[in-house]
Amino acid sequence: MDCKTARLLLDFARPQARELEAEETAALESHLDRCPDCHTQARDERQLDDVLGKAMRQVEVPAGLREQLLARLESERGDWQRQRFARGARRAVAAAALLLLAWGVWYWVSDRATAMIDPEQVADAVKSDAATDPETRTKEALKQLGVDTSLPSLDYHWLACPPALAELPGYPGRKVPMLLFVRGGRVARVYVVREKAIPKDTPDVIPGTSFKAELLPSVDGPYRFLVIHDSADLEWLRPPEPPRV
Amino acid sequence: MGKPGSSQTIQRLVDDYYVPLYRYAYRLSGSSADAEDLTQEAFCKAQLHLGQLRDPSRARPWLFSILRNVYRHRARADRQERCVPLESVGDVAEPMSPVLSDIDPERLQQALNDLPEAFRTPIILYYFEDFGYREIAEQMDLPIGTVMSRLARAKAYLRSRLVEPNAAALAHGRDSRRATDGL
Repeated sequence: MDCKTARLLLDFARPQARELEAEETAALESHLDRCPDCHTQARDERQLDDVLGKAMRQVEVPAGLREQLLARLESERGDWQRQRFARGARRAVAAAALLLLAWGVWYWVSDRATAMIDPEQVADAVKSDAATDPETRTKEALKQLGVDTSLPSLDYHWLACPPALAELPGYPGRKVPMLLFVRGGRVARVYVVREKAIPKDTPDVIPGTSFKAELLPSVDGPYRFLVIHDSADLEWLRPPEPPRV
Repeated sequence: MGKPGSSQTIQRLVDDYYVPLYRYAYRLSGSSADAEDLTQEAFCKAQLHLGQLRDPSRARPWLFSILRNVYRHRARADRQERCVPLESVGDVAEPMSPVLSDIDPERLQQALNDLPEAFRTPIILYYFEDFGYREIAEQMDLPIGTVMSRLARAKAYLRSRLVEPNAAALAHGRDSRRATDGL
């Protein structure tokens, strides 16, 4: 080992830090034994390290520091738990406030909706509705249900309620527009169905023991009107003849 | 804010390391009151982030690192560090006195206080806890060569302030031959 390497390794040759391999330490020690210059420098460096290290470590630790530290740490843990609880409580209060607010808004809206019904206004609307020709009214209502078609010749004064979607009996889940006619204890339900849904060879009148089915055509739409009734015929639903002049 | 570590674990850390940490804090700050505060704050941070210590054998460098960060944070906030200019920190290999007598720890602290933190920290770690160059480099997040250079310059400065016969004159800049001459 030459002096340059030895002086470089001297920086690392510290008893505690163990930064040199055993072989390097042995080679360095061997060089120091043979080289007076490096030996002197190593001795001086170690002396300096000794006195500086000794002075550096001379720090008196205050009595009771350990207990003081443990008490502070315990207190911090307590603070953390209190903060955690407070945070949880704050979140719960915020959630409750939000729920209350949502309920309040819903209550206010629903209350307003309920309070806005004016019987007189309803009566006026019905009166206005009644003034319209019932066939035209029915046609408009069907349009709102997505069916734009001419209507068969029936007396729409006997319509019990506005047209509505209803399940086709015998076909669960299949809903079609239905018109309900009632006159003097006689009832007829008219289902609006697509023409292509009816087999071509189906007769227009299908007699039954208690209920009959009749298929009425639509003049200009791809629909047919399936009438289910329990009367002898549909004469009671025909519109009155115009007076002869 | 993290979840604090278990009380047994943190108590074990306190038992094992409060003395070296306090001494390190004292040498960094130069005051026992500051050293107590720094040690407490370092342990509080350690308690809060104990989950980050995955390898218990790394507890010592981890705690030292926390303490140094706390110290630097405070020093930045206080901006009260009075240091000798970087240029005054010599790296000249001075001839040694034949016999070195003991150094007064208070004089040492005064000399340390005058060193910039970048030089003070490695010299404290080097002498104080026998940290190796590699450990100091990890602590300070510096290349090992930079650590060696800073240590050499810090040692030369301390030697000029504390060991040599004309140390006092050098420290006060009255001598024409300074440890920093030639830099």
